[in-house]
Amino acid sequence: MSTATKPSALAFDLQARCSTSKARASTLHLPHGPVDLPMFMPVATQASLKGLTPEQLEETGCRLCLNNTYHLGLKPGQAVLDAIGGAHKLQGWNYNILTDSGGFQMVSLLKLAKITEEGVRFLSPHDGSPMLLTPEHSMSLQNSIGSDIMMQLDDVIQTTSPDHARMKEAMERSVRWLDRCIAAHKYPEKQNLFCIIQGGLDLEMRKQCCLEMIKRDTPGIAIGGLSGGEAKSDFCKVVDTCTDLLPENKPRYIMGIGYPEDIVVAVALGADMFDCVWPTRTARFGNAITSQGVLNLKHARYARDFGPVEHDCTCTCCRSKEDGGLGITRAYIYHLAAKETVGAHLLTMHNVHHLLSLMRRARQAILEDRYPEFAQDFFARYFADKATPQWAIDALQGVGIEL
Amino acid sequence: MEEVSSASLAQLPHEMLKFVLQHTSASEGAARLGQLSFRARPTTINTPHYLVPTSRGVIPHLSQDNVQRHTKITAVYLPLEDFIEKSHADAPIYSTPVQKGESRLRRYTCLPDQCLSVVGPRRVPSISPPAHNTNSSIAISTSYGFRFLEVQQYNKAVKDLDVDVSVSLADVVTAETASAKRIEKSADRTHAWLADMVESQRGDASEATPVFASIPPLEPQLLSLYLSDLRDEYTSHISGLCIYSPSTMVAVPEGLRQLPTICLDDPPTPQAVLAAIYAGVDLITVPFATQSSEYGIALSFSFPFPGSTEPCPSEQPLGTDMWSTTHATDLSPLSPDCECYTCQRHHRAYVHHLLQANEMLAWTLLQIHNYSIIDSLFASIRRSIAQGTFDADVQTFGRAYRSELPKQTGQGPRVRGYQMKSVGRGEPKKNPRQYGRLDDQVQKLAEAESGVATPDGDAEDIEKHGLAKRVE
Repeated sequence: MSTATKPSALAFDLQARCSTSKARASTLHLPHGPVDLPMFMPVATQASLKGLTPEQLEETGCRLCLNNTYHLGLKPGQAVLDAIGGAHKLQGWNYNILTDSGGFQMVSLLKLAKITEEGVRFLSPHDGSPMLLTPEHSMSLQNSIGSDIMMQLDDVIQTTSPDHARMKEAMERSVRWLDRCIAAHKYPEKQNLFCIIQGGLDLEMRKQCCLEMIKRDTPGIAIGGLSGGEAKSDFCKVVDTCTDLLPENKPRYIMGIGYPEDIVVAVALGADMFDCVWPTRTARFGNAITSQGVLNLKHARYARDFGPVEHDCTCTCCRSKEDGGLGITRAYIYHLAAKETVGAHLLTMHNVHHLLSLMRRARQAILEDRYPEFAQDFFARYFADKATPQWAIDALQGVGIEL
Repeated sequence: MEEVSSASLAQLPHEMLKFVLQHTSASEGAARLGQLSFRARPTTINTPHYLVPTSRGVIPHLSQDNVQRHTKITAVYLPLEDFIEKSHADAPIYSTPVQKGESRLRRYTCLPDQCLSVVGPRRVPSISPPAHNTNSSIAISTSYGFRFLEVQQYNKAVKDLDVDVSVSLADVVTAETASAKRIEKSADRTHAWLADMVESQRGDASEATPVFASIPPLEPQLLSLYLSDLRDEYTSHISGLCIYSPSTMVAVPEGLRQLPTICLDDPPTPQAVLAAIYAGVDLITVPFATQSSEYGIALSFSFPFPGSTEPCPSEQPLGTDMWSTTHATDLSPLSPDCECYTCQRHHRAYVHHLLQANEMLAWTLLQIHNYSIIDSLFASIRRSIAQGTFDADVQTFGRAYRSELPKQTGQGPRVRGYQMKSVGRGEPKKNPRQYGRLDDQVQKLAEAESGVATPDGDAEDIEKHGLAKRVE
C-alpha cells in the first residue's frame, strides 16, 4: 500500500496487474469507506440519482457517486450546505462522493464565457452581469460540499480545437490553477484533491502536462478534456500516453467516459475510474444497457417480450420474484416507459447495476489475470450483430489484446 | 342507521373471499370493523381500509421494491383502461405467460404479493370521455385516446387476468346537466351489466372472480328497484358492493349491509374520508395522498387529534408545503415521530432541495411518507371504532384541522394525456415549455456531458450562492 507524501485522505492499494495489457485492479480507501477499482461512478447531479433513493443506490453496489459542484452551488447553495453540514448529510448518503470543479459546465454552456488568468468570466444568463469563477471559489464550494474527492478548476477547451497556442496556454494555466487550488484547499487531510491532465489531442503537450502535474503530488490524477467529440482513436492515444507516465501508486480517473466499450478499452490502457450520465440519462429514454448491446424498450417489438430486461442479470429489477427480485419484464417497461416515473426508476436501477457489475467482472478478470479473455468476450457479445469498431481493435492490439 | 348484529358472519358465494364483521355500535353511525380475507392471498385486510389507485399498474413514483419495503399498502385499485392501448383485442397484457394458478394481471404488473388487486374499468379519478356509454359498452380513455370497452370484453378480461376482486360495470353519468331520461337509464344499464357479468362467471365456481356489484351515484328512489333486486336475487352471486359516492350508503338496504363495500371516490380531505367511514364504507380510495405528493405537500395530520380544541377550535394545517423556503436548512423529519423511511433517513431540507431541483426522488420520498400517514389514519380509525370513540374523535378532528389541504405552490410532474382531459381550443398549457424548436442545440449540449444545465438565477443569486463573484 502506498500513499502520496503530501497530506491526503486516501490510501491506494494496488492488488494486481494484467500480464498482457496495462489493466490494474486495486482498492481505494476513502474517508467514507473502501471502493474497488476499476470502477464506474454514477452521476447524482443534484444530490439525487434520478428517482432512486440512496438506499436503492446502495443496493446496486455503488459506494462512490458524483455530485456536480456547479448545480449544488446554485441549489441548495453554499450557505445551505454549510448550515446542513455538507452533501453527505443533505442526501443521507453515507458512502463516498466525488465532485467536479464546476468550471466545465460554464465553459461548455455559456457562449460568452471567457477564460482569463484570474478565472472563468461569464455573463449571468439571467441579467447579463459579468461574473467570475476562480479556482478559490471552486475549492471553497467543494470544501462546503465535503466531497471525498474534489477536482481542481481547469481551463477546458474543445480537444478538437485547432488553435495550438491556445491549447498550450490552457494546459499551462491548468497547472497554475492547480497550485492555486492546492493553496486554497482547506481540508487536505479530509478531502482528496485530484489534478486534471490537459493538453488536447497533442501527445507532447499531454506528456508535459503529466510531468508538471505529477510534481504537485496530488492524491489522485484525472485525465480531462476527453469525451468532447474527438475521434475514439485519438482518445485512446491520449489515455495510453498519459498512463505510461503516471505513477503506479495513484488512482487514474478519466472524466466523462461511460459507454461500456470505451470503459473496457480504457481499463486495458491502465485507467481506474470513470463517470458518465449516459447510463442514467438513457434509462429515462427507455434504453436498457445489456451485454448484448443497448435495447430501446420503447420500441413496439418489446410490447410482448416477457423476458427480464437482461437475462441472468442479478439486479433487483431483473431478478425473478422467486429469487427475491421484482421480476420486471421488458413488456412492462415498454408499458411504463416515458409514461410513469417508475419506468425510469426501474431502468436506472438496472443500468447502474449493469455498469457496476461489468466493472466487478472486469476487476475479477484482472485479479485472475485473464483480462484479455474478458475483453474479447465482452466485444464478442456487445457487438454480436455488428462489426467491432476499428478503434477498439487497434487500441487493444496496442496493449497486446487481439480481438 | 341500521344496526348489524355483532359478529355476524357473511357467508359469501365464493369461498375465494370471506368478510367477517367484527363490531358495530349504534353510537358510531354506520362505521364498522371487519376483516376481509381471501383464499388465494396471504393478506387479511382489516377494515375500514384504504385502497390505493394505480396508474398503468404502478402506484405513482413507487417502484415495487419501495412498496414492499417502505409501505404497508395491502390493496390497490387497477383500472382496465390503463392496459388497453390502440385496441382491446391486442392489448399486450392478455398475452402474459403464466404458471397454473398465477394471476396474469399480477405477473404483468409485477404487483407485490402483499397487495390485493381490485379491478374496475376506469381510473380513479377518471377523465370524462366525449362519447356516451351505450347499452353494451362504456366510453374509456386510454393513452392512445378515447375508446369503447364492450361489456363482454370487460367480463372476459377480469376472468383472463385472474384478478382478486372485480367491480361490475357501472353506467356513471358524468354530465352535470343530464336529462331525467338519461339518469333513469343509469340504474337499468348497471343492473343489466351486472346480470351479464354474473352470467359470464357461471361454470366452475371455485375459479370465479369475486364480483363487487356497482351502484351508480343516483338518488335513492332511482336505485330502489335495482337494490331490491340485488338483495333478492344476487346476494348469492356477488361478494360485495362498489359505490362511487359515500352518499349512496343511505340507499343500501338491510339485506345488503353485510357485504363489504368499496367506495371509488376522490374525497378531498381526511374529513371527507372520515365521513365516508361514518356512513359505513369499508374500503375507500384516497387519491389525495398521491396528489399531495405531486404538489410537494407532506401530510401532517393525526387521528384522533392529539391536542385540545377547547375552548376554541384551532386551525391546524393538514399538510406542510415542502416547497416553502422555510425548510431549506431544516434537518427535522417531515412529521415529528413519523416512522416512515423518509422521516427516519431523510429530512425536510433534502425534500425541499429535491423539489427545488426538480428531482423525481422528491415525489418518491413524499409518497412513502404520505401513505404512511394514510396508513396510520386508518389504523387509528379502527382503534377509535373499537373503543367506541369514533363519533367524538371525528367531531374533534373537524374542529382541530383546517377544512382544506394546503394549496399547491410549486410545479409537479409532467401531466400525461391519460391523466387530464383536453378541453379544446384556447386551453392553457398543461406543462411548462421545456425547450423550443431552436433550442435543440442547447438541449443536446445539456444532455451531452456529466449532467450539464444552464445556470439560472441572476448575478446576485449566483454570487450569493458562492458560485462566482460579480466583476467590474
